[in-house]
Amino acid sequence: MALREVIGQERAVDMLLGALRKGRLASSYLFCGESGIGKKMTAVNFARAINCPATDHRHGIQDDEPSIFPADIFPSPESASPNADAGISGLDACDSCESCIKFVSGTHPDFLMVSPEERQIRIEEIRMVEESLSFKPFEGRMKVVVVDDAEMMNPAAANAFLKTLEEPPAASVIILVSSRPELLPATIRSRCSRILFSPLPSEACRRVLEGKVPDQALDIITRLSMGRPGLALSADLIAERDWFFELLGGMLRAEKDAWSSRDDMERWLDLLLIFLRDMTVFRVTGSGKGLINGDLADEVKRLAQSLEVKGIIYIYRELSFLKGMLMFNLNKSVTWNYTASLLRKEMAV
Amino acid sequence: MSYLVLARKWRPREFDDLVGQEPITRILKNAIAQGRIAHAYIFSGPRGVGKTSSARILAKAINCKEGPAPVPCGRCESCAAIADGSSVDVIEIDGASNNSVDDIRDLRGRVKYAPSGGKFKVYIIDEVHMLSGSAFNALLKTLEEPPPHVIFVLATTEMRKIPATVLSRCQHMPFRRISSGAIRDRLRAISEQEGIAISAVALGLVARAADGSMRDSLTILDQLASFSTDISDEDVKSLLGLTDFSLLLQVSAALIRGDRTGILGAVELLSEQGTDIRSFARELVQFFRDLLVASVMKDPGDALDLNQEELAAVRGLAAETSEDQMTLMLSELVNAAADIRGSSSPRLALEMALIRASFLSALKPIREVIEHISRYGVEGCAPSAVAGTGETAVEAPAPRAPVSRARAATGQANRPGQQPVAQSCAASAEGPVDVLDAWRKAVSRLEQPTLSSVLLQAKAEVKGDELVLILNGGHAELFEESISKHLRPLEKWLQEEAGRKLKITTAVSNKKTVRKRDLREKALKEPVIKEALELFDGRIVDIQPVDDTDNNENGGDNV
Repeated sequence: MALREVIGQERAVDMLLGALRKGRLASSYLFCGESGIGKKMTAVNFARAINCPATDHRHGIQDDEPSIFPADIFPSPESASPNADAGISGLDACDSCESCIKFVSGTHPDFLMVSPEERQIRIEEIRMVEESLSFKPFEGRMKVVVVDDAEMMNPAAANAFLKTLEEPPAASVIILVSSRPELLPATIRSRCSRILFSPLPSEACRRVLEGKVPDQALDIITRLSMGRPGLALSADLIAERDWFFELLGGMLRAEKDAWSSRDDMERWLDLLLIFLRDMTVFRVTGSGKGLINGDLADEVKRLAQSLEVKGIIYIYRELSFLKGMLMFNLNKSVTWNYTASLLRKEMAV
Repeated sequence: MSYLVLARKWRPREFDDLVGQEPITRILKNAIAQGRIAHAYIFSGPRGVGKTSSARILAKAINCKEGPAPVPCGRCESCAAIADGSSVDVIEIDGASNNSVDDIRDLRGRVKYAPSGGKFKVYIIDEVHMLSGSAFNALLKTLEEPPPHVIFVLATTEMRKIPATVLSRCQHMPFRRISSGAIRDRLRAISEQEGIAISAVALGLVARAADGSMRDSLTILDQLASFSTDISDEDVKSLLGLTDFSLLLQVSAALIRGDRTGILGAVELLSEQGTDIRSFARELVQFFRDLLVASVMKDPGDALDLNQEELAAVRGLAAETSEDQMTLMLSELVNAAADIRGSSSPRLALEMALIRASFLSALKPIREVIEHISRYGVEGCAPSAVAGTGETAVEAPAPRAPVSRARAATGQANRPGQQPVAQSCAASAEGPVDVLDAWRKAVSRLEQPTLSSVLLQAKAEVKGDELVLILNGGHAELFEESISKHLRPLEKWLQEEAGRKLKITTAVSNKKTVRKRDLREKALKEPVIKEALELFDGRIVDIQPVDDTDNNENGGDNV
């Protein structure tokens, strides 16, 4: 897959291709935007485009330096990517050379991906990155390091990374990927070229999901994913919603808590917030248009009936505050009971 | 050679390149010229304002073969070596990676060797705030009295993490944020030399987005240059995810008019366009600030960064609302922007926050409410009267909120509930006041503090030859026996004090004492107050019984 094929992030892709075209590759990037919208995928493909020998950028190895690859091994870029338009060919990855194939199989020696372990990126990992960057690229043009969920770097790791981020060794690119860039220290943010990613417009989101989810559910899933196809691809949103309703029913019938983990709680509260938002939209517009749970308009209507908009907003605020407190290890059954009493009191069910 | 980003390429090479830090460059230049170079400096300030650059320039200036000179020559081998980072006499240490006490011990071991080529050995410790506590302490002795050929430069973004003992051994240079004007001028000079075509408006936008940091601005400029040859303000907006003015206007208008359907439509549009919701929330705050400025100032030209057309639109919208309302909305939006920033689903958070804020559009400005009240003559201007009656009720408590938030709430006097009772009885008593006075004196002769306080709290009334003590229910039961036991001496003392004989009788008050807690509960049950509190996250600070006689239907609420 090439950069051009990333759907719905035209602005970001244009910017990256522009940097390749002009040979103005920054030494460190920060890809930021909500989760599940293609940041990491773009980063990997960017690394591929940088290293694909079929491309012709002005960065990296100088023109007069002999390539370590015999030129005829690789098909020319034109034949490799027939559908790429003329302005782009020669910049984007070809998808068929040895380098690109190694990327697919995850064995490219000049590519390194760091992700948090146990919700943290520690200083050891950053040191490892620094060490790996201190060597020249093994076979590609540049060493590329992707740090996923970069906001999970603990303070020691983030500070240790600063000097490298500002002045990395030659022929290397560092890409930080973060869905919560505001949690990164300002000193890190200031050293990176920031590339903004935004949730996909529904049309683009639909295009991504087409063929990957059952056709009859495409509409619903597109809406439920809220422009974040990554979410829809990593989990069955419809089943998740069924699970949510099952638990909501249980909660309103005063059953015992049924969450199994903290992630469960977080996801469930997310879904509840979406549902509350839908109820608000319904109360405001009086129609089923614009609902995220569009297919469940009747259900939304039934529950919204007994509530004022102000009441819904009150619950919404209480719960989003509660959700913010989750990281402090809230007691599961206390949280459950609190939520239940809040809903029962206000909803009069 | 691979491409060097602008921020690195245009790193200042001498003190005169350093923008916006004139006081510091002057101190350093003079120190070098006069040969009064301190042995330890600490450079602090926000990111990207020139701390590390200054440290390197300083190192260059004092080690220059032609120098020490305030302006390093930039050609001699020492200058060249420092510029490409290969000098052996300038040691740049990453404090965050080498933060243990062992690293510092190692450094102390090396400090004593004389410089190899230059005159000084300069140790630059960047991110010094990350040193461990024992590392800092291990450094202290060396920092205070280093060998004569050593100069330390510590650089940090977090001044408060530096121990006072370190601070007192160094000359402190606080770097400031760079003004957006200075950034703009520097950007213009750089883009001219780099052959980047960029419009003046776009430069201004970049300078503002950089938020006082030169490096940030150059990073943005670099990105812009990579996807456009002729940079317009549209490009900058698209890169930074800034919103169209017209869309901002549309959302604000919907908010002020309380048009909730309009708000939802606009947010839908925003997300379809791929606007960054978080920066939109920030811009909306800025927009309301502009609205407020436009309505407060007669000639806001300088204070606002808007063109004529935009200014006219802002003015038009400001005329639709009042300053009170805008202030309220602004503070709502400031809170909302913080919520949205932390939310995992900013779009949802924005929608809910805007709808919540839209309820403020129903509020009337306090001026109108007061006019309303005076026109229709609501009896008594106590807030409770307003809160209790019909239509004005909805309007009255809410506009009060900003007033009380400013801690200008009326009635801070914290009188206990019973005191007014005693006062009113004093005023309304038939008998001469001195009888009551005498009663108080008589009670004070009683050597039983508990009993005497109970007696003083009781309401005393003079009826002919009788002094009637009205005790509240609890007291009457509890103290019945001891009162009757002391009744005789009390009567005697009273006679002595008052000069006439009075019979003391007791009665039980059947009126419940008004307690603050009860009042608070009552007030909280009042739908109007409840709504006001919920809407503004308010709380009841103080409740004052308005009048003893009207059975305290409503306490005045100070939210």
